Amino acid sequence: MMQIQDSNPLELAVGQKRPRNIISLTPLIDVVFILLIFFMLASSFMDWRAIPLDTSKPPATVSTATPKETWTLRIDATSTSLNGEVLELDELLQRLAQQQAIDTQLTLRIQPVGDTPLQPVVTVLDKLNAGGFTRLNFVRDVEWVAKPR
Amino acid sequence: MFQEHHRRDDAEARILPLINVVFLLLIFFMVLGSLSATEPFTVGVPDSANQAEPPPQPLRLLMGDSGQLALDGIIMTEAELLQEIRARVSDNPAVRLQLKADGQIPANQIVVFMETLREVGVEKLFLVTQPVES
Repeated sequence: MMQIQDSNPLELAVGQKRPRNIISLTPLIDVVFILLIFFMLASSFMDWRAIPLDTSKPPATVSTATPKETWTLRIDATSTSLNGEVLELDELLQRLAQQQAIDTQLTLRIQPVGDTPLQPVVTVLDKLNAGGFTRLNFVRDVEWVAKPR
Repeated sequence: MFQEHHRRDDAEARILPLINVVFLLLIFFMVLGSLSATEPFTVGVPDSANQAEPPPQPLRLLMGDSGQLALDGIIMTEAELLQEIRARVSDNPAVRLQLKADGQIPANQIVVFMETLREVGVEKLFLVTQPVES
């Protein structure tokens, strides 16, 4: 009797009994949870940026380059000096802009002093980029010696 | 019999909102999160206002704050690393190198390292930075 009633579509629509789920929900939830945990652990939302650089030439080749068009910027953890003269960054940018107006081929050699960490150098680099100086070269401080690890 | 069925449907109906939320979270993480490359040590990348994007699918070079080196997640010595880079560059000269260096290591160390990289045939390098809010 029940069989006949179930097979009647009209009866089914009207009747209280819902059609049974073909797939049980519990294993599905398990899988979804595992996927969720995987994506939560494996994904990163860090938004990286990158500064394109040319690799440095060894100091020997740099010193033979024409010194006239090359200015040297020495960067310390707290101060910057242009061609041996300690300057604030703003003044330094002004001078560079003046010089660049005269000499469009001006190349700036950036030389970190001693154990200066990378962070202040990157900060100065940002300022230079914002000021429109792109002809930059990294030069090592010849007096710097790597500390033994 | 009927009683049992009724309870079961009831339980399913109660967890449906939970499943909805879990599905939404799953889709959120799938769409917005990019899969991160695993790194064998943490690197405190320098902050910068620079906005340039890193190159797609680079060789990932890692330099930790005490000078540890790793290439694509594998820690190696400098000699091994240079040999590996030389091999990769001669295989594919268009390969991009991305250097993720700690902001606390001496900048001169990077400069010296860039000189050695030039010797193995690398001309261009991308220094990874972290954007700062300005």
